[in-house]
Amino acid sequence: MLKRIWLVQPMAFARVGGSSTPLANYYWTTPDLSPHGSGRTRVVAAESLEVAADGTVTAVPPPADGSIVFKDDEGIRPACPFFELHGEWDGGSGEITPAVLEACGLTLDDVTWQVHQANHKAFHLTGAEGDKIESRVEIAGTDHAMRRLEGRPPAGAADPILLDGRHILQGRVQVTKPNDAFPGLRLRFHPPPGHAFAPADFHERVGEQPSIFRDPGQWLLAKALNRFFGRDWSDFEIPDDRLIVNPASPWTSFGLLAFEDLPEQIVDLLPHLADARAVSSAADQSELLRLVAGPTADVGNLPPGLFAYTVGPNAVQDGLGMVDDMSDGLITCRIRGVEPAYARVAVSPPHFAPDRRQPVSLADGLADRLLRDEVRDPAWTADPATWQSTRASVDDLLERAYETAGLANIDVWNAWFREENATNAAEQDSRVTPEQAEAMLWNSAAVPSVEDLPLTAIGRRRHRRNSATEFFDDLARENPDLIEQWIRTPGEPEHLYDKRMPAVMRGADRYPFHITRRQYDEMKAWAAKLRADAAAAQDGGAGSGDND
Amino acid sequence: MSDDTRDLPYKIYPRNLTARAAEVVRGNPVNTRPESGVDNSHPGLEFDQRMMNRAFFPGLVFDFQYGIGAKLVAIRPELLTHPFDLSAGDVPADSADAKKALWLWYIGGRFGANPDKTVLKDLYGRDGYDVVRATADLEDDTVVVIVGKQPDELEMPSAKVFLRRFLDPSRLIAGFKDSLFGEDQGPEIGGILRDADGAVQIGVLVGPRAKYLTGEGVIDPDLVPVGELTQSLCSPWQWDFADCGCYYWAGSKPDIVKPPQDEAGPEIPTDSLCPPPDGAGRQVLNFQRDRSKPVPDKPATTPEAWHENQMTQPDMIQHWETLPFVLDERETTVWRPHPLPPIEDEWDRERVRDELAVLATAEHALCVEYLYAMYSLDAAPIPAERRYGQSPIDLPRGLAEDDRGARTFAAAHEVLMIAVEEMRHLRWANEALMLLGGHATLDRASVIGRRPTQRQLPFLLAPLTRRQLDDFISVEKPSPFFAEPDPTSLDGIYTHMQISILNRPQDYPEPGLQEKLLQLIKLIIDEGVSHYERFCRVRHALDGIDESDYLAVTSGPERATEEPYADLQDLADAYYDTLLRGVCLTLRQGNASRGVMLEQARRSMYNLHDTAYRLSRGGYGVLFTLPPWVAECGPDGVPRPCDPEGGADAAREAEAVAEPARAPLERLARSADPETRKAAERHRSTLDEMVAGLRRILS
Repeated sequence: MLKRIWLVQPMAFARVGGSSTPLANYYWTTPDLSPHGSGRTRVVAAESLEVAADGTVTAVPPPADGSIVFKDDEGIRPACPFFELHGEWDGGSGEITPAVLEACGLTLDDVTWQVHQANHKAFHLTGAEGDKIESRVEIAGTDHAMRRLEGRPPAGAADPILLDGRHILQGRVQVTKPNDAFPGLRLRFHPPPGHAFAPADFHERVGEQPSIFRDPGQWLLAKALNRFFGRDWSDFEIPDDRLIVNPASPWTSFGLLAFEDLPEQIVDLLPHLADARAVSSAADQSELLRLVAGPTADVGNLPPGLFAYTVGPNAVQDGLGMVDDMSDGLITCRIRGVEPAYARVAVSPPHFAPDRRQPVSLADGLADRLLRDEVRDPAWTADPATWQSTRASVDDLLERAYETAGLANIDVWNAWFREENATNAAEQDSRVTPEQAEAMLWNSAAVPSVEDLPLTAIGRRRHRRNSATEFFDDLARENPDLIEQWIRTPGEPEHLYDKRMPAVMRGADRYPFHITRRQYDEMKAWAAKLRADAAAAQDGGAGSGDND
Repeated sequence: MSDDTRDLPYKIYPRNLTARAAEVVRGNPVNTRPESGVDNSHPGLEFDQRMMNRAFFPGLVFDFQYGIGAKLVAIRPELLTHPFDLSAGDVPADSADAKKALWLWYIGGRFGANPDKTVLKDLYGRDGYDVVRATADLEDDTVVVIVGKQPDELEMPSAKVFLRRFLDPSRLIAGFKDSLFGEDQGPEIGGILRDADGAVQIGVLVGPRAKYLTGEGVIDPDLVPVGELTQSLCSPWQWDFADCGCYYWAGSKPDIVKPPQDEAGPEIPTDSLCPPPDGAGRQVLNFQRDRSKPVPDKPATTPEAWHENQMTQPDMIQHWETLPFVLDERETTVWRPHPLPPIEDEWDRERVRDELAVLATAEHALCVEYLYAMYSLDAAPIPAERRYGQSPIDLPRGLAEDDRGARTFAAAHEVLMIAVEEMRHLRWANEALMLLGGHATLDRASVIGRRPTQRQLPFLLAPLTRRQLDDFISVEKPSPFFAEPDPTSLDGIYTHMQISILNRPQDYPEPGLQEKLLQLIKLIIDEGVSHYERFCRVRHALDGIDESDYLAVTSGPERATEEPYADLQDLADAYYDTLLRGVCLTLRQGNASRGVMLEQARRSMYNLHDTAYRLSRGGYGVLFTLPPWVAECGPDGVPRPCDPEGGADAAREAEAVAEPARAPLERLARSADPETRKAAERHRSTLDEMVAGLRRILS
């Protein structure tokens, strides 16, 4: 009897692209330590799966030359994830196959797949039901045809976001046909191309300005603000078949800082002019918008202003009503007699540096929510069997830091956050002066260097060294306070950017970026263990430590 | 199902992953996995993980975008453990009006900074970003949530009386936990205070913090329904993709890249010593540049200049698919692995060990040559005592307006940094040697390069003349990419060694040994390449300055005849001896204690540094006379193990480390010059600290 089922991966990204050929399979492996290699993570071509129109799966070995094509003549190759159905039954567990079903008294006829995708970006800001774009398909276990996910506003909603009869393709899905080579039940998700869509009257909208005759003040204001917030739409082209957003939908009239509200908001702002000056730097436009709107105003998102806009005719950020074919969704597989299996899918942009990784990934974030306690357990480092895993985990984090630093213009972002520090320190309750706040970061101009980008060069070299196990181990032994001193403490109250790592990066809470609490605690445990081992080796006498 | 075609380890760390997330699905490229997504969502690329925080307390949903904190925007009573009489309708229909809305006042529970303690965090009136931070830091345990109207809107004092009962979160949490076991007689598991019209004034709720994921590792669709994970992302996505600085996402949307190979030309020129200073192959291009516009000669160092000629948001919406991919920091559309350069005579383990010993002698020689050259420059002294992570030093006052002085100082600083890295190479070559069972050596090469294949450059202490600089560049110049595997330069020898180790894993059966060797040698190769590039930049920096204007020491080592320089040269040689003794002692310790010992041994380098500058002021260089226990290693010589005290134990060696410097320090302590006497005192103190430190470690 079938006891339970689940889908893997529990979460997958379907990355958009315009090519009709899915991105081939590849994986990350150990750094390229060949003499002229990057010293960083390598990508390796792996076996791919192709699915025929009738759902038949075949394995395609990686090319003999190991190449991976990310973009071809048609465009970017989309990442099209598979979701495999697994389960547990009397006497076993693993992939669900027709044989397993049969053993449990079931057939493919008892299997149903559902895919539900939703783009609620516009709805989230307007609250109008008709601004939702959703698609749903239900597929029988025996249906192996490609099915389209056609996103539409809810039936019957007032002023729906799309013109009558139009839809946005949010992806396609196909349930594969089990065969001897690939008996497992799986579904493949093909993302859409990644297009943007606009209202039918888009070209008229981008040229609209407040009327100088109706309200000269607004006209003047729009002209002035356009210098800072405006974008050049003059040669913008969009195919006619993407002009499908309904100009009458609430989304097309959404905006932030309506001109008609500005006089009142500016009066409210008068007691806070010092703070307004403080956040008026280039680095802080979104905070200026929040400040002008007022502390109780609903600006929609953090940061606000996450939509295509022009300055005027009605608001400082006057939405253009643009939408896209991105979404997130839920894949459900139902089999008679057991609870359904779920997986989440997020349609996402391409990963443009496929061999480089984040210091904190979404996977790390999920682990931090649920798996903190285990790294605080002394067994995390004390158990010889798991100590190597802990070391590998820390080494990997250092490699990721190097990979990220290796692609950043650190000089530019250092200058950016120096300015942001200075503006934040201009706030009334700041404990430091703007000059002191600037000095918390590097003064790139004063660094004696023969390099064009001195901080970038130094940063890369340091991260390069740190990614060598022998080097960083010794560093941790030589500097007992290495982690506490040089790694930013998660969640600390300090809101100014300083030189601790990860440096000159912004976190999800807009404050200086930090690694997760779990990563931080693991690093501390790792360093403590290294030092304890060193002390034990010393206690054992000179030369007693091994050279592993 | 695992993918059995893979032949190299995946970078998947199951211990760091939630339920089912470690599974590798056959056919799925790694960029479909959560490890490829960015967690610092502001608002993010794949999805906004903060959307989960909105529902940190199952049954309540908050929005964070307010200057006074978080607003309650939905109640799902079916998810509340103790819903009391709450219903979805208790969220005021007109809650767009802040005065009518319910706000998050407090969260009580355990937070990551001090996970053993339950605290009540006051969040009303703080920015919504602070609430995001607080909810992210909550431990996976029971929490107390207190919501209420704005204080001015409450009916006092009944609200105060009600609230006062609940300000001890530990008591509430204990009550809640008791209630789970049926012991719910205690009254303190929360409550709702309503006004006369039945509207909620204050709500105190206790329950488990959200698990966020189902037991099968799926973001809980009941907690975060379809559409909510991406609802806060930009519409359309390209707008924010253009707008957001790479300080979020360098790993996904790179910032600074190399041009495509066909536009770049060879990275290492074959027809000239150095690449042109503004060569096309450098990693200086803005990935997001408007490709229809010319590339500036130099990379921007300010945000304004960096954003100039960058794709605008409308450009990105239209043309995002024109962006290339970036692999190995280079723009491309196809990844092609680099084949290893072929070599005919792979070195076995024994040969690798022998060559490492020879290389260690070359690293020693180079390090000394670079130091001599650096101290020959007429530049302001560079502080020596610097710890890991310290900022790059600042240009000395007055040099900002002095172009020649600033360029000379920058050149000196770069050469010193390279010399310091050579010291590390000496250490790493020895560590690799010892990993293979060899003995550490501190012999110094008399000729850099071995017959018959390697280029021969005699060891030469000389000021940083242009000729000497060119010799440094040629020694560090990498072997041409793939074309010339024969070891003709230092890099070539390491290259040959690295390929041999890669191709002969059978020689390194000990767990992790091959990888450690590869890491160390690769690091030396990479830094060697960087030395080549940096020496070329030093050359460029000194362009147009006469040698006589930038050199303080104009000849090779000459014995000083006047004081204090003769004594200072003796002292510098003594420190050289002391330093080598310290390094030898350190290297021979086990790996576990090596780091702490090296930190002590480094102190003698600080003294040497200071002494060298004093000599330089008199136009003299450090002699770098080899101590008697260190040999000069000829082109066909075999390096000897270092052993300054002839087999004495480590404790005795530690005591002897500072001995060579005692006599010259005594002489300098009697100098007529008060400044010299003071320096001698300082040096003695540093040495004493070093010996005490070593003694402490070894006792």
